[in-house]
Amino acid sequence: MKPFDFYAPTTVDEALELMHKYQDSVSVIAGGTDLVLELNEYKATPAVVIDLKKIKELNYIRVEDGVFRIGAMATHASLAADQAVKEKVRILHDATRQVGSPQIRNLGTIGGNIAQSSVAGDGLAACVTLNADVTLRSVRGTRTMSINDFLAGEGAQKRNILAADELLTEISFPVPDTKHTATAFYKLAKRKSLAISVIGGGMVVTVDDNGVCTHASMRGGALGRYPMHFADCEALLVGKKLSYAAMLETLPIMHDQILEANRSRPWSVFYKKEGAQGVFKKLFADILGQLGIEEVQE
Amino acid sequence: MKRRGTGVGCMFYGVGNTGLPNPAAAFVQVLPDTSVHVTVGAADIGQGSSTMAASVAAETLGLNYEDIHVVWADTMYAPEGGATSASRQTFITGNAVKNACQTAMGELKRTASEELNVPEEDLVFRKREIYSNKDASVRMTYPELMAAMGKKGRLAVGAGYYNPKTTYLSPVDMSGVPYELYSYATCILEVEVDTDTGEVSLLKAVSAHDVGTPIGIKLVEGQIEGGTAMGTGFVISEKIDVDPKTLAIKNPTLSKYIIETSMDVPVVYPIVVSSEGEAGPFGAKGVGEPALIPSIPATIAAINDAIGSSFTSTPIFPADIVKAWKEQQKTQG
Repeated sequence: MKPFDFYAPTTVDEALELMHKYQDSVSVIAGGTDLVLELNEYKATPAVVIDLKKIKELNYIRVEDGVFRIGAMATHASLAADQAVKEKVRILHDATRQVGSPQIRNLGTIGGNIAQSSVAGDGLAACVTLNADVTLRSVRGTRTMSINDFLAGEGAQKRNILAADELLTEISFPVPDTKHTATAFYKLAKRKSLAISVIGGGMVVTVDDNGVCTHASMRGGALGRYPMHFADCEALLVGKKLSYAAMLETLPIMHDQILEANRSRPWSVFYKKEGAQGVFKKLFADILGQLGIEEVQE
Repeated sequence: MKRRGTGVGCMFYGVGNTGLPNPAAAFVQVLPDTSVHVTVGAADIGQGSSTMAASVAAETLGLNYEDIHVVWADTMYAPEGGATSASRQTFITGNAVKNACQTAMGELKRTASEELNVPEEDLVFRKREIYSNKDASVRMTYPELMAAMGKKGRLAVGAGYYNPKTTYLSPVDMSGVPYELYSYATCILEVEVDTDTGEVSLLKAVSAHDVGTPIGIKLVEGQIEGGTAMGTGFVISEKIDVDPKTLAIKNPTLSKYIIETSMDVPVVYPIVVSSEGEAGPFGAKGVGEPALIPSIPATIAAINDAIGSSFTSTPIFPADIVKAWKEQQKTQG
């Protein structure tokens, strides 16, 4: 580990001042489950490390005026244990409860997971499927944008839009109406704990009072640089009466899309395209069960 | 679709090095306060060979387990113990400890015989007491015996070793006696296979092992449970990935070499089968590798039973399962 100056501010404003002062030479540490490894292996050699653990104002999970607001420093463990998240946002509950190991979930934060934008980030895949908003703050001001725009941008580290002096402070999304909307996440990995996702599938579906699909979001984490967007599958579902049969019709499209996107990696594409269909069959069954539409026997 | 399957794996296993001399030794002294120093070369890598050595010494000397202090694998002081491999330490170091204790018993028996006026062959040493097997009221305690030893200026010391009775194998046809002792085991294992994702859930394993006389039944059960985890991991997740060009190992870290977590291992029901009359200390046999071996074919067979595949090698990864299932669906239909 290369020596560095260490700051542990207690307020966001203090952290932003420091980030503005040191710009590119800063690494921000939230839970540290990625950064500490990078420091140890000399993959990150910052001159300054700013620790966010003491900033209590960033650690919250609350519902305000029909909107979930999650502070960037909320840990995976606290999200997995949150009753409102469990009842209303199963996708986030199921994604965060399966991240890494208990130790990693106790340290790792949702903000860190999204800011890191790793290929296999489960929290990230869940938030992208939800099309959550993220709030970024710097001394220059505050901006809120869709997480998809956040990922599409090229900021200081190229992996997302974050500027060098900018901090991701909040994730927010409307509280789903669980009578009409169901969300689900399935993690396919090489073992049942302490594993990186091979595929992290996320799905959100909304139906009207007649059971007709009015909105669908389908994403596959770890299938590409960012959670893969199955837009054509979604389009096939919207306007149809939701059923297992109707959902299964999306799978051939998904198959072709994954095959196309992973042609350069023939050794892994076979399993990715087949495994993804298996993952989504489970998500379909989960969603239909939650909405009380159909019991699917596995 | 989720499908269940059951598999059976059986094995017999020769304990010790194959067709080679492989001795181990031990030093023992019973001290005046009745505590005992046992020194062995056997490396305890967590399997419990030191616990085993203490148990064998206590049983042989007629003392309690708590009286025995084992110094192990200190190459400055300990005698040769050979490798902790081939499931051999209980059998060979165990016998060495027993032999060393029996030598130390020489002076103890002579002294007790004189003190109690009982022939040496009639003496019983048990749980810190010495008595006559003809009349149990003729008895003395171990501290009394050690006091008598002290008065007479005698010390209870012993060195011993054991080398299994094997022969070199014929270079022409490999005939000969490769092992003195064999362990036997059967494992029955149930899995649930997800044919869509290829995920394998290990549900439960029943693994029965002939260990002769178990020395420390909890240790034997622990070995069986750990071995089953290792064997099942060998089938469903562990692979040494070698670069075909450079021959370098591509996954030399535990983040990429996937061993099971406690969430992955099946519920293991160990069954300890006792048998008698073999060459180990008090009839004990090795269980280190036998614990692992039968769970490997049992897991493969269980997967084959679940999805009708015909895997014969390891590892079997989810991609292999999905592929086998798809091919089979094609040929059926």
